[in-house]
Amino acid sequence: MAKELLLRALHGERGERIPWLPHSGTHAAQLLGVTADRYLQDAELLARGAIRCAEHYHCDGIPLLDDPQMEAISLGCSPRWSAQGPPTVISSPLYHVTPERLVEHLPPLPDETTGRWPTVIAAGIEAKPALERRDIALVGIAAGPCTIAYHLRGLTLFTDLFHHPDSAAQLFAYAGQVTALSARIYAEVIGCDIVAINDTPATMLKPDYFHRYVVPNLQAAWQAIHRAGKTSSLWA
Amino acid sequence: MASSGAHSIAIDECMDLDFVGEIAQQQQIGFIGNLHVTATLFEETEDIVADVQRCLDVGQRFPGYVFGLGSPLTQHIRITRLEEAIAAYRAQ
Repeated sequence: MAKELLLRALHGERGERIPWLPHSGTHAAQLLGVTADRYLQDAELLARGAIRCAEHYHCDGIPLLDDPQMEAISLGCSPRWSAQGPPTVISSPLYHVTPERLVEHLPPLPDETTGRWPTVIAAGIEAKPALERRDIALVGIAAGPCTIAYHLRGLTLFTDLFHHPDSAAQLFAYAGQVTALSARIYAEVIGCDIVAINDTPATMLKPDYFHRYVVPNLQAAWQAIHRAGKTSSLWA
Repeated sequence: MASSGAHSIAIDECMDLDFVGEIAQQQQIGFIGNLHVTATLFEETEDIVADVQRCLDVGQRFPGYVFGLGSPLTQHIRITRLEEAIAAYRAQ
């Protein structure tokens, strides 16, 4: 009933009580007594953390992994790991590439075997039935197009928007494909009940740019989530 | 955000929950937010129970409201502060 209540609310319905869904970050590492870097790279800790956090705070749904850098690191961005929180991207592979040559330097699209995906998938497969028994929704959080484009291109992304809008559009289109792949893995492979696209850097764009660069490149992700019969959410 | 095609949106603590609730209702989507997470960090911050009440008072006026946080939890919070917030939420 708790999960159903949450899903119905996320579809815009009023229920008999207000459901509760946390943006859990790396707080589960604190509950487990481990460092954030260890927690984020260990399938068993991710699964245990999601279950522990959901039980401790009586949540109706819980994220599996809340690391906005996960996709970017799998695409070649260099991380600096931290014991205190999610990793920081310290180098952007497309930062020094000229706008005219951006497309030819785009990394190959990831799949289920790339980067930390095998760890995340293993965590999800372990956590899903345990949460199911507790009537708690499992939430997958995929990085949004602006987050991925920003990590790959660095601050140059924002000057591209003014001076090289075609290059920026191509990078956003590529990033949208990555977002859609993440959404598909969370929805179809892991079977998350809810898939959220987290795209905080997109809030730095003015509405016109948000409509031009972000919204069109979210659509493939929404299609993947909705085709799998799952609930979608945009977090920013 | 509300018209991007998602079933729901989540917003940070800088947004007016009441304003977002009106938009979500118009768009017939759900909305999540937006407890001030800073209130879980220190004992001397504003009363977290009051902020929970703010969220619930506004949220219950609209269909599709989900109680949530305005930003991700950092690793090291005052666990008792969040427990206090959840106790207030569960007392709804």
